[in-house]
Amino acid sequence: MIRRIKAGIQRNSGFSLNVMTDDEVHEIHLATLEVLRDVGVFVESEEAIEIYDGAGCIVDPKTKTVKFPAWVVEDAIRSAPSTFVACGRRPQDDVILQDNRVTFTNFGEGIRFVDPYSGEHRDSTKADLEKTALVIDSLEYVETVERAMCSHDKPPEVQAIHNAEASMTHTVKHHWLCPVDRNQTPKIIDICAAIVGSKEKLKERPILTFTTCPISPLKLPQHHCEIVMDAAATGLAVNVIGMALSGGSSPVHLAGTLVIQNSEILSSLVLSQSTQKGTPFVYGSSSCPMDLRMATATVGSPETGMISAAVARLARYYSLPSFVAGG
Amino acid sequence: MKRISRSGIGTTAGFGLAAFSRDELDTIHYATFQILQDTGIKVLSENALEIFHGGGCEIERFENYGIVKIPSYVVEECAFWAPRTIVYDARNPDDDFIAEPNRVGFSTFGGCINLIDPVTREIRRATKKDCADLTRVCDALNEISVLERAVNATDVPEGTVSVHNIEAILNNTGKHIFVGADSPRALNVMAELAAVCVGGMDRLRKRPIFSVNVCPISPLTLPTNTCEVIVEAARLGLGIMIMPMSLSGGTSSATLAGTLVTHNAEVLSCIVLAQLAKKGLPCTYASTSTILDLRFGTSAIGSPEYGMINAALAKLAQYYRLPSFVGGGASDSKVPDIQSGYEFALSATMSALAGANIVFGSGVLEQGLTIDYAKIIMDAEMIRMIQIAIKGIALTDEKLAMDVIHEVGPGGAYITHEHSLRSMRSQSQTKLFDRRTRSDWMEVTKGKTIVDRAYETAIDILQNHNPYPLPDAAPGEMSRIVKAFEKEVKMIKK
Repeated sequence: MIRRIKAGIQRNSGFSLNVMTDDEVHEIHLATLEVLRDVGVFVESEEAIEIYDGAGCIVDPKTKTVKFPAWVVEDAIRSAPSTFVACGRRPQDDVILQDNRVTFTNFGEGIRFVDPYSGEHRDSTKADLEKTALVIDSLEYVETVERAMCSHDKPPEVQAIHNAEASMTHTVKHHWLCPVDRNQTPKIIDICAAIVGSKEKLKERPILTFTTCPISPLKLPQHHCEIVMDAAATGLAVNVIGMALSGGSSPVHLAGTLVIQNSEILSSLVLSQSTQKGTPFVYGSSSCPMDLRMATATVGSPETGMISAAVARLARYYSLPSFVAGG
Repeated sequence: MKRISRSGIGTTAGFGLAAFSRDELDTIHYATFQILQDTGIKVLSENALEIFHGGGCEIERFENYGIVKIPSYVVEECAFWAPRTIVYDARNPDDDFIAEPNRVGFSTFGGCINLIDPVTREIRRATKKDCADLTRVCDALNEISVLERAVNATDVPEGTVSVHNIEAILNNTGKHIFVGADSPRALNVMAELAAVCVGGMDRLRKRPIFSVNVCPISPLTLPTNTCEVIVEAARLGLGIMIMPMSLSGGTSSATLAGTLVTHNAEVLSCIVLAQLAKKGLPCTYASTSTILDLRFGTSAIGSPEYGMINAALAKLAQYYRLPSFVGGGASDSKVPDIQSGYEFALSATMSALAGANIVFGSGVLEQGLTIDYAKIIMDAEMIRMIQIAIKGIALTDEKLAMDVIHEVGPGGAYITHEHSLRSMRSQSQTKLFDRRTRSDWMEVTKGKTIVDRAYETAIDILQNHNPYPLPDAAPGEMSRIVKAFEKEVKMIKK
């Protein structure tokens, strides 16, 4: 029997989730613009406030509140790249993050560890972090690595550097890590440069993306601003991970939580793009509900998945790569 | 601030699965036409062959069977005659289930032969008492919407299993029941039993409290009993649930697309037979199709493909505007462990997002052979979580909470705001899954595992749950009917 090709029928390339209609995503966008314009965001860093001022925001240096005209936000959304290549150490480890391409990474940052040899549940150490990175490195369907835990056996003020050394030397995959503060950031960049050969090579193929979190509701603390600005200045991408606790630091209803978190992320995006236009920016979310009966952050609840699914949809609306909690 | 409501923006009523475009569903539909028209269906019942013939189908006769070729107009008409909305009537009217598109309910897996004893934790053959006990547990669980007989009574004479099953079930639930029938005669007796519980055959006809499971054999075969039970159900006015189990790579093509086509052809051929036998007979589009794991030679119901096939078929059922009853949540693990949890979560979520009316599969292990109480209880908890997830995120003014956001401002606290107190009941709540801190968890549970706590819950239900009461005389009358039927079967065998 002859079966000729069918002319132009519409196909789905796979299964996907219907989360929100375009109208609904637009609604969240409008609500976010309203919050950014009328409520504003608290910005702790004076350097950042100056950058916001220069970018066209309305700043109040006394209360450290920054308010955003809609055009400033829209401009920043347009200038951030929609495709981000998460470089590994070798070109074959590179992963393209864009639109609907789905990849996985591990959780970070844990503070406790189940010892695989003794079964004991204890504080994590630098050596544990090395082992964990090695295991994740071997897993085919975990495309990038986040430093999984912290090195409790190192002093807090240099822990991020130790974390970077331990984790990044045990994987060839693209790495996500929070450099914590301005003392450690340059050293971590030096570690990356040592791994790839030089700072120039690092700029060409950045193997690390900084992660950083605003504080809900609507606060950009000092170190957060600095990480966003330093990433932009050194040519590294930044992954801003919203961490609203629905019911604790944002409204119980997920709709309101999405608005709060979106406001925090977009205000960080303005800072990133105003420091250096075109800096790769990843829209992150680790938001979950606060169980108001147990007073715990319930990362295992269905709502965590629902928020993450909605965030992924929002990020697509903004044409930004996304990084959301799940699992 | 005044927020006047917006005029007609497009909203979603919840999260849903985008599986196929309309064009793709048409593609499956047309491919199915070709199979029904050109390849045909093997039918082993003479009576059914007559009915197909009378309905306009072409019959090619062979020694002990016939190949039925169904013209597309017959398929279209019959699919259209089957009712669009079905209410699964229940003995307890509060448990009536409306099977409209996208209303999602859950049920256990059906027809297992083993169970894990909740007290001794040993695996053993299921008895009639187990069938009764499992029914009582499912009756108590809000998360289970309808009752599929979870195990077959394996301790009763051959030919009487389905009659014993339904007696055990009727005694222990007020919910709508899905059961298979050993023979047309057994189905008659089953209807008699149900009639005893609702006050007569007329009442049963008006509110049929059970539906009849019928299974074509893949590929493309309707065995004698399946045909005869369909015809008998039509005569009795009982709805049928048509459940092929194609094994992709074994009894259907190794590609999922081809499996969907033959599965669809099998369901539609039964719908044609049912509608030709009785126009307007309620037909439920069902599936437990999956892949044959070609390395192990087992039907892998814990595979992602199980979820994909069944979610796709739920979409196909919606395309025909028929109620659906598809697999989701089954497991290949041998014990209620992490594997069984992962497998439940993936396929049950997929089928639920697809909008299947009943997602069946809770409680089952070992490729569908074994049922477990702890698994039923744990799955019920997960079902509640899935029900939360498919509700999606509503974006009303109250939920966007813009005025609250203004009021709290940057750096403020939501936890103490009156809006949080008012809204906290909208959050998901767990009973069995633990959300406490590690120290609180240790203090409250003493480290007892979720599986142990789930068995305890099941045993507690078994001891304390009383199902919706039957008329006083019903249990005795049912027992008399069953005994008489046992005798009848024995006589025929002699």
